[in-house]
Amino acid sequence: MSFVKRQIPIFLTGLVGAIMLAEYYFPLVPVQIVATEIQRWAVILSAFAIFTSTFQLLRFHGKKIVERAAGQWYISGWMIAIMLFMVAIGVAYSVRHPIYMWLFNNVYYTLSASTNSLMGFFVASAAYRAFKARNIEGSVLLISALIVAFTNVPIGMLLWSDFPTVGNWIRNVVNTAAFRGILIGAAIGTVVLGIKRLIGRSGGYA
Amino acid sequence: MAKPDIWTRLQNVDARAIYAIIGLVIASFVLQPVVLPLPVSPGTRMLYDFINKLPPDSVVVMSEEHTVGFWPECGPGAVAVWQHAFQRPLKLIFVAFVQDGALMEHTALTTLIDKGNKKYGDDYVQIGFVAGEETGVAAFAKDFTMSKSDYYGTPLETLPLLKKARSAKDVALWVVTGSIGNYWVLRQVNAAYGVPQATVTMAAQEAIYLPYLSSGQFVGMLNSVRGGAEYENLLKRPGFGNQMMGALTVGTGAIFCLVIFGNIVYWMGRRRRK
Repeated sequence: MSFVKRQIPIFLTGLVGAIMLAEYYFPLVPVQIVATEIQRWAVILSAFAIFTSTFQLLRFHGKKIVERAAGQWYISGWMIAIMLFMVAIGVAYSVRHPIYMWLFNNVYYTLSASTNSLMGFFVASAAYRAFKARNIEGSVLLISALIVAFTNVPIGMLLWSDFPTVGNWIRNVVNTAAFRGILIGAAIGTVVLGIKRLIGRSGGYA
Repeated sequence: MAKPDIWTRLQNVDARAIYAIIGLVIASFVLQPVVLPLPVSPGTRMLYDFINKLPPDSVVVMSEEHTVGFWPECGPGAVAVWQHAFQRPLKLIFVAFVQDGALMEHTALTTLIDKGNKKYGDDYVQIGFVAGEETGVAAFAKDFTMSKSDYYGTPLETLPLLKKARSAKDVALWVVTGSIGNYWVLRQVNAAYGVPQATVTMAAQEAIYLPYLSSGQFVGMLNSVRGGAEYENLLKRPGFGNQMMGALTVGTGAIFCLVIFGNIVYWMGRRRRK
């Protein structure tokens, strides 16, 4: 069982990874053909994953309805009803149909945008309560944040003409230097993780 | 138990009062937009100049990589850049590696963009959604016709534009709208094929992508609504971005005032407790 659940997946992962790496660094025609085919499989599998995740979602919320989960079952029911409605419209008419586009632009878009916009209110409340100059580090963070915030809006320049100069220096020098370090560190970590995954030394296998 | 003093009560003010202040301030400027002077950021100017300098018939790929909830933030910039590309003699390919992207592109192309005399299939194409995230980007970059049909169900092999532009090797610029897609395109297109990349991104992500702008991997970057408003001004077509800048400005101003007030309250309370 271990051979089926562990050794075969490790072998396949290693093989596919090696082909993709070989294709990137040694662009030989036979390797390119195999790599292109594997990439197409991956795209098809990803598309199919969307399909299977729909069933998983139905199963999860269907269970909540069957169990009459307190405070949840009617929300799950509504979610399933809306999802099936959108699927029915999309399948029956296509996603380009005016009814589908109307639902997308006037229901889904407005609700999603409203949910995202709520973050602004939470940020305002959190900033009022938590953004305090309690010590030197806090004060530096507070001042930097306010300068950068005012660099991004026209009123900043009207309040103090040097807001953009100082703000851009913080963004382009201090921020860029810090993020370069973070990105290089993350890239090295990703390479190490990738190698561990390819040789079966990372978790995730049975 | 002693009654808390005014400073303690102000520190613990009901969140709904703060929501009301922010809501009122923003709503007033959304309903009555105020146009404020807006200098053009270097990243915006770089993308504008880059598109202006592209030779005629250059192929530009536009990919929409965010969920629809971020359209108010990224949409003004995306629409302004697409509009600029339509004004120039360029060949445009629209694609999305996030499901919502294809629908947003369709909405923008059919209702917001003035396409001039550009003809579908010859001058621009909408591929639609390509699944697979980063793998999808890699597969698409290798062969633009891997999806078989475009967003409208037309076989890609029959579209004249895709007979000329076969892969990322034929692309002069790739503009990503959103965030996560930038990394996919950076790794699978910019690094692999040397295609210049630009982005229209969210304000919270701008700091992350600045190193790519200064390294030259990005040839331009629009920062959120502000970037969109700047680009609209460069095109001399003020739109949604400019409308929202007033609200964004006063929203930031209100948060600034709240933070300052919160700090005064904190320090007064601390002094009193000592």
